[in-house]
Amino acid sequence: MTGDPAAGGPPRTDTGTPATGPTGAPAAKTTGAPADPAENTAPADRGPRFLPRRPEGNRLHPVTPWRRAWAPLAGLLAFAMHDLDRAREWSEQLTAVWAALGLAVLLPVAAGYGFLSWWCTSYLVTDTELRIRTGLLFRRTAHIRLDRVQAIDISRPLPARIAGVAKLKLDVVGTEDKDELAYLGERQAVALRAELLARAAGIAPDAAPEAGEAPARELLRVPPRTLVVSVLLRGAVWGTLAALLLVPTLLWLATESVWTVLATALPLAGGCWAASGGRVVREFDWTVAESPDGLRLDAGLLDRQHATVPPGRVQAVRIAQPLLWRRRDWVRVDLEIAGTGGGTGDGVLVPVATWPEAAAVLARVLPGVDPDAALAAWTPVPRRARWCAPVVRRGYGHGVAQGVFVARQGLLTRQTTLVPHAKVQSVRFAQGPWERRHRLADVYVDLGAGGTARARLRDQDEALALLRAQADRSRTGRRSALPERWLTAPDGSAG
Amino acid sequence: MTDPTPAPPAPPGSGQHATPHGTGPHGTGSAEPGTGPAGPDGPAWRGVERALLPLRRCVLLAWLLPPAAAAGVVPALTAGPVWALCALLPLAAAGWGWGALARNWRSWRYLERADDLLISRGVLWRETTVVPYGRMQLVEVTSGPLERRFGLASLQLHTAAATTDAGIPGLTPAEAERLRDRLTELGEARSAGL
Repeated sequence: MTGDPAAGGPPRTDTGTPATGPTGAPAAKTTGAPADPAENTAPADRGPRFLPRRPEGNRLHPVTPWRRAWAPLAGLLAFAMHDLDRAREWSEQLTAVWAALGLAVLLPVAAGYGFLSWWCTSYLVTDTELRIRTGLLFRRTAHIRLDRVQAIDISRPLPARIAGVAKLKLDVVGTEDKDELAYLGERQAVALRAELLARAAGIAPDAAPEAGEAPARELLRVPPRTLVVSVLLRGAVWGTLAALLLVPTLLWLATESVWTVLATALPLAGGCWAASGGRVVREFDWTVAESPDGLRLDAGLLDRQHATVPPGRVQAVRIAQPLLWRRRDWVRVDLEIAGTGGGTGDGVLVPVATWPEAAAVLARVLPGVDPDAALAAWTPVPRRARWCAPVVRRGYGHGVAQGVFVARQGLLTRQTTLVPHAKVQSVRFAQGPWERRHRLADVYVDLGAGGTARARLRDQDEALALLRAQADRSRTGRRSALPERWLTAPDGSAG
Repeated sequence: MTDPTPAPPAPPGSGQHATPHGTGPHGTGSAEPGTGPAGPDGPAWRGVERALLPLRRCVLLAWLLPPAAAAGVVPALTAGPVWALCALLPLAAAGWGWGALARNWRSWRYLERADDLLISRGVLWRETTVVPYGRMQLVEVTSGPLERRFGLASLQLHTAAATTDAGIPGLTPAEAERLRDRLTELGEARSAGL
């Protein structure tokens, strides 16, 4: 908060303090993508008197109102879908004149709404925060602390790609939804991301705007062929496909009602698509790259997604080995990052790769951890655990490797969870009566991402020792962890 | 430390046997709840206030006596006096709960160590939670109307993990506040990011 007047919260009170505007000037310089005429970030811009006062800061791309303009139309459509009979009745009465009249009213209203909501949205980068102001009637100001940003994504859905704009999303701990800036010009989005990351990394405030995009080094690229084959080798895909063929057929034989069949077939078809084709489209051309700002994940066939995960944000890593992938030594790696709510679909690190390739990436994600040793560190549960979990126990395993807590489960799809000791939030020992009879106990490790790593059915004494030892390891692990502002470290991971 | 093997198992105080209050993960000996220090200068396990027991028993009776009365009176009036024995079921449950609450009350203990807080509880389903001070995001002291009547307050710890389940019921308000202040202070001193 020192040094730059922008951070000190200068008197941004009554009239928008135009020309001196310390808040507008530095930020305008940073994002000044010269090719884009839209970046009129002039702080003095108050607009005509009949408009509400524009919050100071940078504007979004002028394409944005068109996205917002759809909101009233979408509302109307949703209403029509909700009440089909009534809608049909109305549409019979609807004449061309009425339709034209309705459009003549609706379109300007929609356009006006879109324009005003765009007018009232702005963002501002200060030394420590990103401030987003939105809301026409209900004002909302989000102050996002940059050192708490867990990930920054730029996404370009297909229409946005055509229009040359992009969405910027920020993952912050403790918020349900990602805060997003939609839409920015593509260059503006990239420049803003670079600046946010530079500031979050702790680069001096003056240098941050000019820091530019950090150079990236490609670690892994998933070939389309591998991706398609890997999807075809998933049991879930064939399972949903079989269900999609069988269930509606049986239902048709049983009820002969088209609606029942449709009502079951459509969700099944959706699930089948999400597991197969949707996955290919979403994870197409998956690229993992490394830069001083953290990991770069780029993917997508139609909608391009560009995620950046700063160093030290990874709470846990899950390695999945489905049954049919094992012959090819393929694995899938998921990341747990605080803020994404621990969703599994969100945090893919590597959709498919051979283990040596994935291990090379993992070694970069978890510095100081030997992935091979970690994957092999587990020991099976005692034989007497068969009285608690006869079959499933074969999948259970736990171990401790250099720097990580390892827990393993699953028979068909083997899942190994690696939790860096420094990321452990709390450790729990739990034992039920039946487990106590067999002198077994569970140890749970809670993560910041909302997940839990479970070492199930360990020997009771081992579990007690583990509880103590894990608490100690987590404490010492934290001391050696990277600081929040990773470039301020004396031995920062990158210069 | 990052040695790949788990630390050597601590001598489990009163053995591996499952006495309700002997198997905490502490290696410094088995301390009874609420009694003196466990070691010469080590920290002590502390139990929760005795008043928690009558409070919970009140709640238990409030839940089970009305059904017992209903189960006794209604069948007796409609089907015959013998059916009043139906009331025995809720009464038996209340009797069992009466004892179970005492065992459960004895099982609640907490230990402030140098760097983390241990909370141990449960008789049949036993659970021990270790929360490092640096990981606490929020410490909360609550006291409901019933708790206030019994002169009690409870403490709830929150970390960044939603699954962390660390709370201590049945503290005196003074102890709850002392604990809250101490935990907050230690949390600030040892604070770590995510």
